[in-house]
Amino acid sequence: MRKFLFLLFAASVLVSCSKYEEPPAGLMDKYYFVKTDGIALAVRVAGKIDSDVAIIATHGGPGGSSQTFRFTNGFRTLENNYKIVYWDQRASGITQGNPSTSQINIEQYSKDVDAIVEFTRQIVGAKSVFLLGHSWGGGLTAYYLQDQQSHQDKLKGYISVCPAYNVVGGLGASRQWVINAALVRITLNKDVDYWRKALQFYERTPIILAGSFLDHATYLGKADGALFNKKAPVLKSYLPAFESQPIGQNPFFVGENMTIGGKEIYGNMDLTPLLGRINLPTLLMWGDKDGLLPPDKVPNHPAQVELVNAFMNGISTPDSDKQFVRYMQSAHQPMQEEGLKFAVDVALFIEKYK
Amino acid sequence: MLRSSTKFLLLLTSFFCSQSLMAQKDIKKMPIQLAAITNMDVGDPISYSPGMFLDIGIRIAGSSTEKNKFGSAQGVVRTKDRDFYLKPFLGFYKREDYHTAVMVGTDLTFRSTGAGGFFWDANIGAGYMHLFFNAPVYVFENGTFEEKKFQGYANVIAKGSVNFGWDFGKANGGLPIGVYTGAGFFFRYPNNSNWVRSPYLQLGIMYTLKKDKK
Repeated sequence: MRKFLFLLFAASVLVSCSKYEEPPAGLMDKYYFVKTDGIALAVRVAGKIDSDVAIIATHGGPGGSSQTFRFTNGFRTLENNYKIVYWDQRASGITQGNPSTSQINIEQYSKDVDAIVEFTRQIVGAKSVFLLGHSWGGGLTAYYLQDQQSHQDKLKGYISVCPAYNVVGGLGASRQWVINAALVRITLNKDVDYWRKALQFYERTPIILAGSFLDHATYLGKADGALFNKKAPVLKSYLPAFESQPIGQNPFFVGENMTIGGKEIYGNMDLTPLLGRINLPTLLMWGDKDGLLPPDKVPNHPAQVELVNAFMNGISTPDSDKQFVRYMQSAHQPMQEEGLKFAVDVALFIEKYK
Repeated sequence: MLRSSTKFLLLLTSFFCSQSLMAQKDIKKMPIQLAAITNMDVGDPISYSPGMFLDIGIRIAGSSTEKNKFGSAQGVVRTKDRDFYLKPFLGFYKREDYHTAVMVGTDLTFRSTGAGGFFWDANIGAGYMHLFFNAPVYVFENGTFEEKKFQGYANVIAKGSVNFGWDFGKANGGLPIGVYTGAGFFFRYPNNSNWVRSPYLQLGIMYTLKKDKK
C-alpha cells in the first residue's frame, strides 16, 4: 500500500505543469524566435489581433527581459488596443544561443533591434510601428535611432521611458541621489547603521561601474529609488517553461561585457552629443522619484546632469512633435507604478502619430 | 568551432560509449529502463516540463553476498548484489514555448540490490544534447525572413542522479521487471559561456533482459 501511495504521489508530480492561458477573444499571445547572427531572439507578440499598430517593447538591464513588462498594468492595458512586440535581447531573458563576449556590444544589439523592427513590419504585418525603450532599452533604442536615418524612417514614433542614454552622467547622479537619501535617513534616525554602511560604500566607490552596480542597486532599492509606488498591482502572466538560472546570470554576463565603441558602457556611454540625429516624433516618460536615473539635477551633485532637459533639448524633433510626461508617484517603473496613466499617455501619442 | 571544454566532453562521451560496447562480451544482466521525467524549474509557479529517458545497462563489474534467509527452516540462500553498469541513454524533454532537448550519452552507474529486490543506484554521465526551439523560427538574413524548421543548437551535458526502486524479479524468481524513482541534475553547456543546471525527477520501469543465474 505504501508503495502504491508513493507511486501515486510521484505520478501526480510528473503530470503537474503550468498552464497556458488562452487570451480573451480578439486578443493574441504568440511566441516566435528571430534568428539573427547566430542567436535566437525570443519574441512574444501579444495584444489586439486586428490592430495594425505595433509597439516594440525593448527591455532594460542590460540583461533583463521584456517578459516582465506583461506584469504591469501599463502594457496589459495597451494590449487591448495594439499589438505589443515583447522581445528579449541577445544573452538576455529567454533568448537562446551562446553569443561570445565579442557580440555583447551596443553596435550588435542595435543590429538586433533592426531585425525586430523588420520582423514587426514583415512578419507581424504592422503598418504603424512605434519603438519603445525602457532604461537600458531606452539607451539602446536611442543609439539605434541616431545610428541611421533609415532606421527612423521605418517608424512612426519613439517612446522613451527613463532612458539610460547617458550612463556615465546618470549613474554619477544616481550615486549622489542615494547618498542624499542615506543622509536623510540617518538624520531621521532610521536604520542608522545600515545607511552609515552605505555611505562607507560610496566613499570607497567614487564611480559606479559594472562591479559595484549590484551593491549600488541594492542601496537604491532600499531607498525606494527603483520602485516608489509599491502598492501598484503586479499582474499574473503566463511564462514559457524557461530555465531560471540563465535569467539570473544574464544581467551579470551582459552587464560586465557590454561595450560601446569597444569600451565598457558604465564609464563611457553618453549619447548626449548624438541625440541631435533623432528627429522622430518622441514621447519621453520619466518617474519623478527615479533614483537610478534621476530626471533632474540632484542636490549636492557637482556635475550638471539634467537628464530630461538634456534629452528634450538634444533631439532634433520639432517642439510640436515631442512631449515629456512626468510621473509624480513613480520611480524607475512608471508602467507599473502608474500603469493606467502610462497606458493613456502612450495611447494618446500613438493615436496622434500612427 | 567547438570550444576545448566542449571537445573534452564529447571525447568523454565517446569514451563511455565505446567502453559500453567493449563490455558487451561480459554481459551478465542487462536492465532496460524507461523513465518519465519532469524537468523542473523553480519559479512562481514551479514549472514541470515532461520528458523521457531510455537506457540500457551493461554490467561491467560487481559482486554478490550470500546470506541464509533469517528464520527460514529450509535455509534458503538470498543474495545482495553490488553492480557497476555502463548505461548508454537516450532522452528528451520539452519546455513549452522554449525548447525541446534531445539527449544521447552514457551513464556510469553503481547499483546495490538487496535480497528482497529493493535497490538504490547512483549515476554520473556525460553526453550530447541538441536543442530545438519550441516556437516558429524566422531566420533573418539580408533584410528578409525565412521560416525554418528544426532550428536549434548543440550542447554537451553532464548529469548525475540517485534512484531507488524494486526489482520484482530478484525475489521468488518473479517476472524480470522493476520500478524505480529518483532525482537528478543535468548540466548543459554552453549557454552564454555558462553551464545551465536543470533538476529533474523521474519515475520508471525496468525490464532485465538477461539475468545472472547464481
